[in-house]
Amino acid sequence: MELEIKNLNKFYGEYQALDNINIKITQGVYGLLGANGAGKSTLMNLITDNVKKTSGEILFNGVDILKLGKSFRKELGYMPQQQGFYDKFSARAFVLYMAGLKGLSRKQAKEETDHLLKVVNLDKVAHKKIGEFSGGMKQRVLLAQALLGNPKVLLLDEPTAGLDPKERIRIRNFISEIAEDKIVLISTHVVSDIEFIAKEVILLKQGKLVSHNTCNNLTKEIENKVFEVEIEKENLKYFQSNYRVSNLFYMGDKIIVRIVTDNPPKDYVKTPVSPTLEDLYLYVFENGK
Amino acid sequence: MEFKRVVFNPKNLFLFMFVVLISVGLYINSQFKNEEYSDYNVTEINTLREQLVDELKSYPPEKRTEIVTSKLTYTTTLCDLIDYDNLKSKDYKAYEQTWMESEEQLRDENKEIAKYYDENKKTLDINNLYVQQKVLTQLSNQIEYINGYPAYLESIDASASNMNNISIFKTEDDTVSDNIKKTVQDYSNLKNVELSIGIDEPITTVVNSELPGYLLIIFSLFVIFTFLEERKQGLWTLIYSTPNGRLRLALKRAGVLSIVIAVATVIMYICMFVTAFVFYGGTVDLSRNVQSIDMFKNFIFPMSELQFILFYIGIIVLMQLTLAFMLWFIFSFIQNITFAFGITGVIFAGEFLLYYYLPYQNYFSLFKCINLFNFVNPADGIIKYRNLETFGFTLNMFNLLIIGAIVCSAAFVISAVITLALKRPNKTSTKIEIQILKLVAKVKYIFWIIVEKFTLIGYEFYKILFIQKGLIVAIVFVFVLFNSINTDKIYYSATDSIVNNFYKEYGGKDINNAEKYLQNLAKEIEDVDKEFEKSIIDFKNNKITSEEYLNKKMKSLAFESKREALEILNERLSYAKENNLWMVNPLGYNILLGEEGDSQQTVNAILSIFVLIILLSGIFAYENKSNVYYIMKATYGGRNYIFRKKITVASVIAVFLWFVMSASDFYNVLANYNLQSFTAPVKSLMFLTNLPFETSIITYVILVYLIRLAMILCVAYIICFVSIFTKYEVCIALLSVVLVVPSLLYVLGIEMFKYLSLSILVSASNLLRECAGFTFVIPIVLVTILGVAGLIFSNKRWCKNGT
Ligand SMILES: Nc1ncnc2c1ncn2[C@@H]1O[C@H](COP(=O)(O)OP(=O)(O)OP(=O)(O)O)[C@@H](O)[C@H]1O
Ligand SMILES: [Mg+2]
Repeated sequence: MELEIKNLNKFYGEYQALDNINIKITQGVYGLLGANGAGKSTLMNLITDNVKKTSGEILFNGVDILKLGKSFRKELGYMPQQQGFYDKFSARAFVLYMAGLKGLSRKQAKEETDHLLKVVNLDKVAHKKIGEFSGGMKQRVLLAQALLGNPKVLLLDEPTAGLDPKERIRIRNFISEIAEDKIVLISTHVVSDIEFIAKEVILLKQGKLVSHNTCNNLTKEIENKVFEVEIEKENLKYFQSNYRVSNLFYMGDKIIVRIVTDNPPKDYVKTPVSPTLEDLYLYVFENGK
Repeated sequence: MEFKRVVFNPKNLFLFMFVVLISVGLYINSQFKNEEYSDYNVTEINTLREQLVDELKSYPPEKRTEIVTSKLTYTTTLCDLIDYDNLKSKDYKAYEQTWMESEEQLRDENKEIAKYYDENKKTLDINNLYVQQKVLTQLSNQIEYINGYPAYLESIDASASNMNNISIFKTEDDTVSDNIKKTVQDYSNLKNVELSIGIDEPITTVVNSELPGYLLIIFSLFVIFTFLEERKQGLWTLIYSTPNGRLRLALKRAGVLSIVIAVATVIMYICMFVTAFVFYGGTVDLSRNVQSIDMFKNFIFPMSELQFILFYIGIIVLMQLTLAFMLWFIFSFIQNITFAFGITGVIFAGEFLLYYYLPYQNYFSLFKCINLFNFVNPADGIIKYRNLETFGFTLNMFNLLIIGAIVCSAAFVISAVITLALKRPNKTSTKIEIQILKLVAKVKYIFWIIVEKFTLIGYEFYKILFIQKGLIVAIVFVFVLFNSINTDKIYYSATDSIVNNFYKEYGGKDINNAEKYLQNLAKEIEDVDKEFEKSIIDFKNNKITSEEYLNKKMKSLAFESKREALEILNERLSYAKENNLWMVNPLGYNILLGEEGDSQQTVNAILSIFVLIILLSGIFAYENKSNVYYIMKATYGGRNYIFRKKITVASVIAVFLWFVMSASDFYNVLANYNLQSFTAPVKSLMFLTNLPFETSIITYVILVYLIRLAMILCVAYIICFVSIFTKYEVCIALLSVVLVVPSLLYVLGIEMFKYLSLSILVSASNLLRECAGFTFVIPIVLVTILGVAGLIFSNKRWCKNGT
């Protein structure tokens, strides 16, 4: 099973949202990382055929998804980014409705709905109106419907936005559990969501594919570029405006800043540390420092 | 901000438009059915009446009686002479026996008119003469009323002073004498009121229509719901969590509610009055005193019509405000909507009992007077003069009503504000409330368990009927349609009864029996006539007494209706014979398929198109509005499959409206008439004689109703098409303008809109009757093409790849 994106371009009028993207992905979790406006949602919308591509191809097992049409969508689970809902449906009614749209039999629909509502920890409020839900609860309803029908291709557009840490961990674990026989594409800017579960990470920047590799390989790129530096409080401003600061913590009168840089500062005591994905993210997306 | 949110809420705006449209529409409909004018052309009457009123006004009041009387004599004489001539030409013998004498007498008394008639016989506009007669009779009644008014006032004075002199009243019951004193005093206002002639209907009919009052209540309920909606959103708790903040909000809302309801009421009644004035002629002279109208003879405040209209609207505004404040109070005091509805229902039911069953003489008649139903329609309390004796006081009903309304509205608005200021958003206070909340939660749970059993189609219905509140609209539709059915017993003239009985016995294919019967009847009539003839001679020769002669004459007169019936039936028989058709009673069919039913069917058609627009505008627009659309399109069944389901739902709704429409038609006819001879050739009904094809009545009925069905389905598909491209609100507005407004304008009398009015197609029977040859096919095919195209293009659009 493989999803291949070939020379994909998308223009919104004059504006190029995706610039000649080429990716090939197979089973496992893929993290789609990028800043706001990088084109993550656009890519997903193209795969779900909600938006018309300008040029290029998206192939599922070698066949154009537009040709596959319904039979590709049958394998698709999609969780959109913006929350839009039938506020006046109960959670269970909504998921059941989606199950109907996915062509599940009534028995199957009921079983899966009840199971998934339990998975996303909403079984207790299943008969409540979605309109009365909190943001995180709504997010989980969206996730539940995406998982209906055991889809082969799962597209999750910022699935953990608005979730509390407990739910975030629960759901992250669940996704990694079910990902074995699926293609799971997760877009996010929260690096920790995918850091440990993503097989590979795709970095998008202003519509361009910056890199596509495993976490380890990616972090290797910035080996020897991440340092912890001990500084005086007065110098914090200077560091923040001249270096990519990925973290900082107070230690008595001093501050320890973690920076990602090609040109480490010379006059300070610095300890090289092993890079994380978050450091990489900063390295890629904060330019010119 | 609050004001904008309430006023520019599309739901409220549309509901208001809907409410005004229904009021005005049903008003027009009821005026068309107004018995006074049902046999006449309203426009003709209006024009003539205006002319005459203007003309009469140019004379001094003393002379008007004389002028109207002489004009009336003139037209009546002419009309009579025409009648006589008709009688003559139909059956000279009968005429000679019964009518000749009276005609001679008439001619004797009005020689000049008779002369004029003989000279101008051929050029007289007969129809116009009848209209003149009608209008003149009306005016003469009006003048009579006006002339008699001072006497009427005096009679009240007199009877009062009479009563005052009878000692029993004085000593035994003080209130009675109070009452008399008050009456005399109140009526003394009217002593110098000058009355004049004019056109009464615009004011009387609007004041008599009760529907707008009720519809405005529904509107205020929706406005109040807009307030409640905010409560669900988080904002409320955030901004108005302090008592101070809550008080400010409550006061703001009291203001918003007052303004919205007042403006809505004013607009509603202005629309009603304007419609009424347009309907009854268009010229507006509002300067005469309102007491000039018979209905207002006991209205004790002298004022002009214009003043009255303003006064009336002002009072309605006050009443509607009271009602709105009451509802607002109930719905803010009881936070659970279902429960609040229950309480409202109970209150209205209680008030209803008091209003209808408590007599005015009762000690507690105060509660009959200060009553919700008097608030909804205060006309009765305003116009009728009535003094109530409650708790030892004598109070005028009008004063009571106004004071009651003011006190109540103040009490309600203050209570509502206090409630809102004191109540915390989610406070659950009393035990009862907790119990009720538990119960409500259970009911909700059961509701969801049921909803969650739905199939996709079920959910689509749920969206339209519950989420978009279509159920209410549908229920109102059914209610309105079945309410417009005529359930009064129909009065048949003697002639009509004879004709009906004839059809019952002899209607059908075999016209020989019918012919035989009619021949016998003719003979019978002839015999009676002969007998009478003989009796004339006998009487002249003194062979019989005058009593016997009169007897014969009466008998002959009694046969008049038989004569008329025979004439009608003979005409129909010869039509049937000539064309080889059946004898079929056209009375019921005329309402189902003929002119008699046209206005009702057109109004029903307009209403159903409008209701269809409201119900279906959201069918796709609703998905566009929510982001569910994106998820939907990414699923297996989110394109073609759901499209088919949605179209099925749209079709079912269209069929339902069609069914309700047809059922109300048939019910209307079958409840009052016997339909027979279904298999007769359709042209046996004389009003269908121009149809370009031959078929049986039943097939024709089926054809008409199938065309209706097809048309309403096409309208549904057109709505679906627009719904894909626009927002819900835009869709409703756009389609109302394109599909409903032309029909309304046509119904209001602007002929040229006939060609744009879809209602003609949806009611179908008028179209088939009046189009030459097969031309009726053209619009039908056109709309069908539009409908099918709508279907195809919506499918393309909905199912196409990414946009
Ligand atoms: N319908 C549209 N019309 C015009 N421009 C659009 C449209 N949708 C997206 N864009 C533009 O395309 C670019 C990419 O948008 P996209 O939503 O794919 O970003 P994203 O990576 O998902 O961002 P975020 O992290 O905020 O979700 C943005 O600059 C956006 O302004
Ligand atoms: Mg996005």
